[in-house]
Amino acid sequence: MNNSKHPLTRREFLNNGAAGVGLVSFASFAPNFLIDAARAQAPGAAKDQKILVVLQLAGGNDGLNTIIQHEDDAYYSRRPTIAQKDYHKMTDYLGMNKAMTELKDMYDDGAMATIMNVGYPNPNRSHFRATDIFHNGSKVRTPTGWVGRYMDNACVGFDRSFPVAINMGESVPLSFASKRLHKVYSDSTGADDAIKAAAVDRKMLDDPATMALLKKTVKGSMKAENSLVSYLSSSYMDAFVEKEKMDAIMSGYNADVQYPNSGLGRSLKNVASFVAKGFPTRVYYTKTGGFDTHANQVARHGGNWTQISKAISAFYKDLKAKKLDKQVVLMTFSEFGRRVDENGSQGTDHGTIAPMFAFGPGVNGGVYGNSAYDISKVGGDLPWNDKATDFRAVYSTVIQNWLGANPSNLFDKSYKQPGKFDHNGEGGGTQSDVGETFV
Amino acid sequence: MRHLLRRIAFTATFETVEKIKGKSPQDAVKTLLGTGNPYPIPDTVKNFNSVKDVAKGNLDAARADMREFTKKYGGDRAMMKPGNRKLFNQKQAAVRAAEMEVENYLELVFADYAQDWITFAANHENSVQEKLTMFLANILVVNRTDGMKDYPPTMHQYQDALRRNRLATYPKLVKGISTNPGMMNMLDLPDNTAGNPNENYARELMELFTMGESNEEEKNGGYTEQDIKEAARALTGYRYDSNYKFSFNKSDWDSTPKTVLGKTGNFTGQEIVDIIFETPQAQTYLPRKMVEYFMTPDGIPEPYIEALGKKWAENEFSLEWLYTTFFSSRAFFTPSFRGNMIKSPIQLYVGLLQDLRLDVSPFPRRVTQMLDLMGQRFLDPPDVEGWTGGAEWITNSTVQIRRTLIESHFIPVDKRVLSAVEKKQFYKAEQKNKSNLFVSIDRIGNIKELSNDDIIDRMLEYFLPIPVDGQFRSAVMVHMAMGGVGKAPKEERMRQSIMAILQSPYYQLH
Repeated sequence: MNNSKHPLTRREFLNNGAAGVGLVSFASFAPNFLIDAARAQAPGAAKDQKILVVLQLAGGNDGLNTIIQHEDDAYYSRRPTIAQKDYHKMTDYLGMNKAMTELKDMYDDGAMATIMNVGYPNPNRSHFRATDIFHNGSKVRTPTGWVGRYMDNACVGFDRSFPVAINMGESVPLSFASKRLHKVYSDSTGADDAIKAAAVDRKMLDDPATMALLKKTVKGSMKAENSLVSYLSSSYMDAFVEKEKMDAIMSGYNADVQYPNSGLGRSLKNVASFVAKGFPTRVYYTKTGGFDTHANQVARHGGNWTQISKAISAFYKDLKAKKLDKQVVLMTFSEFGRRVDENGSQGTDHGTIAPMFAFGPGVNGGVYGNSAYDISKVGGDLPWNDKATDFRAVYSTVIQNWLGANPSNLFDKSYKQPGKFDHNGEGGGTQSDVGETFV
Repeated sequence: MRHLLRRIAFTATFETVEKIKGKSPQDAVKTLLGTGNPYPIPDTVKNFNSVKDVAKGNLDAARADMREFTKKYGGDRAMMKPGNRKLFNQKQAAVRAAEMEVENYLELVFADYAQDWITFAANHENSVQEKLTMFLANILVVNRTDGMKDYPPTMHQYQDALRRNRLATYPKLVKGISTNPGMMNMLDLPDNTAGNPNENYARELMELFTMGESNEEEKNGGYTEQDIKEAARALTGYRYDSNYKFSFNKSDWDSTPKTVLGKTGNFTGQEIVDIIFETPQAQTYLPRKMVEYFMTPDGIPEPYIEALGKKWAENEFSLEWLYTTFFSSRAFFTPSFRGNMIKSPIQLYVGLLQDLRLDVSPFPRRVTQMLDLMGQRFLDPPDVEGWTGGAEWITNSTVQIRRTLIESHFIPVDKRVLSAVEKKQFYKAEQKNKSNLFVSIDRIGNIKELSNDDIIDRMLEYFLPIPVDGQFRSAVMVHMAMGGVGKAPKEERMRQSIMAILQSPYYQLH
C-alpha cells in the first residue's frame, strides 16, 4: 500500500524500521563478535572470504587527467594549461597521472584494473543526485542501495554476531539501504556529525566523570523492573560497549607498514584492522573528497591522487604481510567525470563519463571497457554511447565474480561484464562473455 | 499534572503548571486547549526564491575571493607558505560549501523553517497547539518529498490547515484537508479524473485517515476494494490553481452514480466523507490512534474505545470534545501509562529546551542536522504512514547522538567553528536577547545550598517521568557525595549528575 511515487532520500531510509541498515540494538544477543575472535568459533571465515572495499571519490573525479590519452593532440589543445604532459606510461595510448606513482607499481604487478569510460544514459550533474544514482545502483530512486540488495539476496544466513558491512565513511551510505535487517557497523558517523552539528569545542564533550557515572547508572538500570527502562538500558550498554570494542580493535592494531597520515590512510588502516582480526564482513565503504576541481585543478587533483596512491599501496602492503592481500579488492567510483575543455579558472566543470578502478592481486590487471573517444571529435562532454560502459556492469562483475552472488535481480536488467578495452575500436566494443574480465 | 503536560505538550513548564494548578482535570484540559497563537508563514519560506539568489550571490563572492587570492599567490598549493596554504584550503572549502548551498537551497529554506517553528513551539503558549498539530500531521500525513513539489509555501499551508482546524469536527478537518494542495500532491488527487481514476487518495482516506485497515477475510465490516474504486470516482475533479487555491473542475468530475459503503448516489468527494462517518469504524479509528500516540503504544481494551467513539459520534465528532474527554479521563492517568513511551527527536529537543529554559540554537542548519541525525527530518516522514516512532528512534547511533545533543547544551558555543554567516546569526541572537544557549555553572550554583538528597530528588522529580530504580539513585548520590576521581567541587558534581540524569535512558521516556 505504499504511495506509488515514493523516492526516499538518504535520510529517510534510516527511519524505515523493517527495511534498513540494522543499527538496531542487538541487546538480546550479547555482542558476541566482541569476544576475542581468536577464541570464537567463527574466525576461519575470514580466511577464504572475498572482501570488497568501496571507495567513493567525492566531487567528480576528472577522468581525462587521471588516465591520460597521451597521443591525442586534442587532449593538449583543449586543455592548454591543465593537460598533463608528464605521466606514467601504461600503454601506447594511455598513461596514469604522475601523482599515482605507487599505483603504477601495482599496475605493473597486475594488481590494478581500469574500466574506462563508465557512466549511464542521460548522466546527471548534480552532486547529490548523481551520488545517489551510484549508491542506489539505479537511475530511478529506490529505497534500497546496490550493496543492500546484495545483502538481502546473498547474506541472509550471515553470522549475526559480526557486521555484514562496515561503514568507515562520514555518513551511512545509501548503498547500504536494504529491505531486511542486517548487522552493519558505522564508525564515527552519526556521533561525529552530531558533534559537528553542536557548534561546541569537541574536546569538552564526553566528560569522563559524567560518562563514568552514566555507564554506572545504565548498567544498574539494565536490571530495572520497568521493562522499557531495562530494554533501553541494554540498548545503551550495547552502543557503549560496541563502540569501545571496535575502537580498541582499531587502535590496538599493529600495521606492518607506515600508513600515510591522511583521512584515507586512517580509514584503510582501520579496514585492515578488522580484516586482520578475522571479521567475515563482506563489504567496507569509505570516502575521500576534494575532487570538485572547478578551479586550479592540477595541484588539487594531483594532491588527491598522491594521497590515494600512498594509502592504497600501504593498505595492500600491509595486507600482504599478513597474507590477506589476495582476499581484498578495492573498487573506486565517482559521481561523474568532468568536461573535456578546461574552464576559465584552470579547472573543469561537472561532466559525465569517467573511469572506475579496481585494485588488489585479486583483479585481472589491465584496461577494460569498450573503446576510446576521439577527443578531437567529441563535444563539451564525453557522450553516453556505445563506447561507454554502464556502471551497473561494473557492479555486476564485482558481485558475480568476486562476491559470488547472482547480480541479475539487483538491477533493472542484466548487464554484460566489461571486456578488454579496445583503444582503436569503432564502438560496439568487446563487451561479451568472451575474453577476460577485470576480476 | 506533569504527566498530562508531557503528553499534551512537550514537558511541564513552570508557566503552564502555574496556569492549571488547582484545577480539575477537565478544567485544566479546557484551559490548555484554549492556548495558542497564529503561526504566519516564515519569511524565508515565503520568499524562497530569494534564498536561491542569496546562495548564488554567496557563491559568486566566494569564487571572486578565490580568484583574488590566486592572482596574488598562484594556484599551486605545494609552492605556498604554510600560512597561505591554510588560507587557500579555507577559501576552497568556502567555494565548495557555497556550490552545495546553491544546489541545495531548499535545504536552507527548510532549515530556517525548522528553526523558526521550533522557536514557536518551544514558547509554552504554543506548545499544546503544536503538539496536537503534530498528532494530526501523523494521521493526515504529507511529507516534503511528495507534497511540496518544489514550492515550499505548500508545506506551511498544509501545516497551518491542520493547526487552524485542530479543534473543529473531524469530518470538517478531513473534508478540508482533501482540498489542500500539499495533500492533493501527496496522494495524486490532481491526477484523479473521470474515466481515469487514481485510487491513491480514496484508499488512504479510508485506511489511514478515518476507518483503519479493512480485512476482507476477517470480515470486520470495513470498506472493500470495490468501495475504494467507487470512492475514487467520486473524488475526481479536485484541482488547485496557480495561486495554490483549491478549484473543483466539474468537467473532470465523474458525475455518474457510485455505491460506497452501502450507499448509492452521484456523490462528490465531500459526500463520501459524510458516508464514511456513518460507519462504526469511523467512530473508533481516531480514538484508537489517540491512545497509541498519547496514552500507550499497547492499546487499551476495545470496549473502552467503542464507548468513547459512540459518545464522540453523538458530539458531532468534535475534536475539542474528544481531546477534553480523552485527556481528563481516568484511563489517561493510569499509573502504568507514565514513562511508557520513547520521545521522538522533536519531543526530546523541544522538551529539553523548555526543561533547561534555553533559547533554540540560532544556527538553522545545525538544528536540522541534529534532527536528521536523530532520524526525524523536519516535515518529512518517510511515507503516508507517518513516523512509526517508539523503539525505532533508538539505535546504536542515535544513542550517541542524543547524548551529544544533550551534553552540548551544557557547553558554550565555540565561535571558532562558526562560519561567517553563523557568526552573524549569533550576533543577531545576542542583540535580540535570544542567546541563552547553554546551562552555565553559575545557574547550577543557585541551588547548591540544599542538601545532596534534596538536590537529587528535585532533579529526578523535575526531569523524569517515573521514579528511577534504586541503583540509579544511589549511584548519583554517591557521585554527589564523593565526586568521582579528583573530588570536584559541589557545582561541578551537580553539573555532572544533571548531565548523567539527562543522558540516561530515563530521560528518553515520557
